[in-house]
Amino acid sequence: MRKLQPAPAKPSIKKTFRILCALLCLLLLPLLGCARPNSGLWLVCSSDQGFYWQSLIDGARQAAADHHRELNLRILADGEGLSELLTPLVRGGAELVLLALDRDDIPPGFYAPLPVVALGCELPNQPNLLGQYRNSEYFTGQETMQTLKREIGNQIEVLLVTGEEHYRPDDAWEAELRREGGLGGLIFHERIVCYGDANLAYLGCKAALEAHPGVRALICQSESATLGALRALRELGGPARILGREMNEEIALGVEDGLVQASYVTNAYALGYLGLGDQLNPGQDAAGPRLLVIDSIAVRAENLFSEPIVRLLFPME
Amino acid sequence: MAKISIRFLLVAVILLVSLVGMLLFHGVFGNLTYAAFSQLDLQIITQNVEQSRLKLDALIDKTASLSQYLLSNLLPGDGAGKESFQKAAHSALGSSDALHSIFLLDEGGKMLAFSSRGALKAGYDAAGEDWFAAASASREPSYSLPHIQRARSGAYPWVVSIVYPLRTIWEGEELSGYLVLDLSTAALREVCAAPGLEGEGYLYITDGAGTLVYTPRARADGLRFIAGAFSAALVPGAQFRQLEVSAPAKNGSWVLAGMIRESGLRRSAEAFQARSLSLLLVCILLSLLLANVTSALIVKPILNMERAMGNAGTVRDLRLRPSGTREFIRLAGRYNALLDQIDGLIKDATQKQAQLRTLELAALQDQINPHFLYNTLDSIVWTLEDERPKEAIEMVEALAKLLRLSIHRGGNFHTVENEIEHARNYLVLQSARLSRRFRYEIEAQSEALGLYCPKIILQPLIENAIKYGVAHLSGRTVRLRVYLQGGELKMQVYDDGMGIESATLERLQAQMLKNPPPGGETGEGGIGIKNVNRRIKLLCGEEYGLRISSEMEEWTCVSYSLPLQSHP
Repeated sequence: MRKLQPAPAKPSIKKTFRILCALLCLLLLPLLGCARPNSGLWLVCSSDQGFYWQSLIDGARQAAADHHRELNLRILADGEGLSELLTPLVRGGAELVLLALDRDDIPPGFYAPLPVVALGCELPNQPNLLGQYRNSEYFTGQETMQTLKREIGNQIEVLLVTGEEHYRPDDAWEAELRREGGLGGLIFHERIVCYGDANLAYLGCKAALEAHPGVRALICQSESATLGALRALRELGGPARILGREMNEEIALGVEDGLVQASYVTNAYALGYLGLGDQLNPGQDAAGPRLLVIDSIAVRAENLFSEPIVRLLFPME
Repeated sequence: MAKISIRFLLVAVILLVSLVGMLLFHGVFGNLTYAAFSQLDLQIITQNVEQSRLKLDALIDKTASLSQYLLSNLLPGDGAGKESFQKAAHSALGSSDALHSIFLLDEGGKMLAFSSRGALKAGYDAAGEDWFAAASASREPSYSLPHIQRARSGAYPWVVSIVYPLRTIWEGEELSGYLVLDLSTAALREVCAAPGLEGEGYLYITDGAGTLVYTPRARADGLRFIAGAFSAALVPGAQFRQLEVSAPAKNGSWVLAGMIRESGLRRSAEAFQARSLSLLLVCILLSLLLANVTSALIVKPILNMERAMGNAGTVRDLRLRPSGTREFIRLAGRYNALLDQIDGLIKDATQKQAQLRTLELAALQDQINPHFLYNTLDSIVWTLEDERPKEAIEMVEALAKLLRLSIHRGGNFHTVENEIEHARNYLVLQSARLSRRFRYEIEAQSEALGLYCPKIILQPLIENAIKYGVAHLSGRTVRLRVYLQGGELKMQVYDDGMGIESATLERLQAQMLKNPPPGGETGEGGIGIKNVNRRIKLLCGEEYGLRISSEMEEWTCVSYSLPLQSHP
């Protein structure tokens, strides 16, 4: 009798493996999301040098650590465009990008929606301040003016030393200088721009002091400007006094020595810590970040070593 | 239930059993292990605190021994002076990175000698410092709270001042003053660094009154006073738990304590939980795979069988490969045996049909025998030549009817009436051909005419009766009888001719009972009789067939029975 051949059977193992592979892919999918190259938290700063920037970075890092998160730091390189820096971060899935920049590093008309948030600086064309933090630079300027007039003199010769080219139109100095016919009692000789370089500030101030030996006050609007002016003043001597910004050991010594009448210090650590902490706070308003105002503190010889100031200026850690 | 497949049931049952088992295991042992891991985490943290306390004690011990060393250099009567003190202080500073400065003050706080890692600030006076005021008030060795050291020029380090009041002879004069060792808070930071906590908490040092001496979170904690509306941004204190471990340091003033996040106490437990959940997931997937494989092994042979049965009639080869479990191998074997049996039956039926066709063809060939045709046509001619047209017409009509039936393709059966008509036509032709040397009679019951019988059975028998019975004699009769009896159709061809010799009759009778091979066999009785006998048996069954009886020189009777059949 002729033997009949069996009919071929379709294997089901292949189908089983296909299902398992699909399940594994589903399980791995969230991990793929986590593996995006630029995901997470980012802090973009103009610099990591100096009391202000180091304090801000320290504060942000502490906030990230307290929330069990890792913070990635990116310093804007010389000549690097802001859009050029931000685009890969945002496209790479960054959860939050804090911009802590000098005004000179923000191009005119620059706009960046969330997840980019300005910390301690202003972004133009953001009418409702959504996404902005701001320290009270305007109020610091007013305080400086009052100190100048109260403690040094009114109708005196002054030099203005700034760290950056751009400043806001309502800056206290410009407002003052334009009031009452333009000078408001002060004899304004020149504005020295040091672009964040203490050495440039030193050279500029030295030249200006030599050219205008009657200058009684140098109004410095940044840490590097203050340092440069201090070094120039130590070298040349004279009656001029500095109204400065921020603090380091050299400036503190200048305060102790009386060369720095007062230095206005921003609690940049608080800016960094509270700014990032607010964004990471689960109860944070979904509408966006809020206005964070961190006042500046006027540090003088009298209060340099007082408890709260010394903890602000000279971190124990 | 009928709509659920075996495969689904198997997978569901295996998966369910695995899942229940794993969940039970995870639930029971998982909870026990979780508690154990939490306890382990606490133990590790406690050990970390203890390690840090030992480090702090070591720091205090070293500082104390250096103090003793320095004090020994300032003992009265040894002529202690600035040079020897500074040499000793320099040596002490070199032996301990923890010390920032060492200096000697008079009772008013004026600097007598100073040794530091930097320059002394000109005109420095400790009198205005809080720590000095506190130390001079107590007159006992004391540890100050941390403060900014203002003695150095160009630097503002945080230090803890360890003050030892002393009385000595200093450069020839009696001195009541203080030996001050400034301990860098960086050293305390190292003490409080606890790798085991790893971001889950921190250690800090307080004095006996609970005042903070050192904490790694000094700046962050200080923000509480300025946070205001942003207080929620601060890491809430509720997330941290005060460790129940505090370790008093050797100096009797300080206490090392710790704060730990709640999550830190669950770190190992949560890691274990995450791993066990991952393992659970892997086990579930493996169970799913196992269930699928097992069910596939069991169900595959069934599906093959179902597929094969579904293809029955369209797939030539339907046997199953015996595979799978023992039961399926047995079932496949029996299924294949059934197929073989069916195959055999099909072959038998096919063979029978083939045989029938062959026999029919032979019968037909015999019918359309050229000799018969020639002879008949000759007879017709002779009849015409004899001027007997009516007879000729009758012969032509009979021949036409005979040929018509011969070439008609239909089934194996036709009516008894047709069969008798066919026999009649044959008898007409043969009678005419043999010049009416014999007579013929046809008797048929009318009830039998409408029944069905196999084709071309009577004609060969009549042929034999004529050829072997009456052809060589004259005045004989060939009688055809068709009737019903005993529930069967009986057909009989009788002739009173020569008869059959007994030996030949016996052989013929024996042959009628056997199954000869198919084909146009000839032999005794001619092709017709064996053909007819075989065809009857093929069409109606082996119990049917020809019955031959005869008496030599008297008569011969060939008869057969057929089952009653009212349709073809």
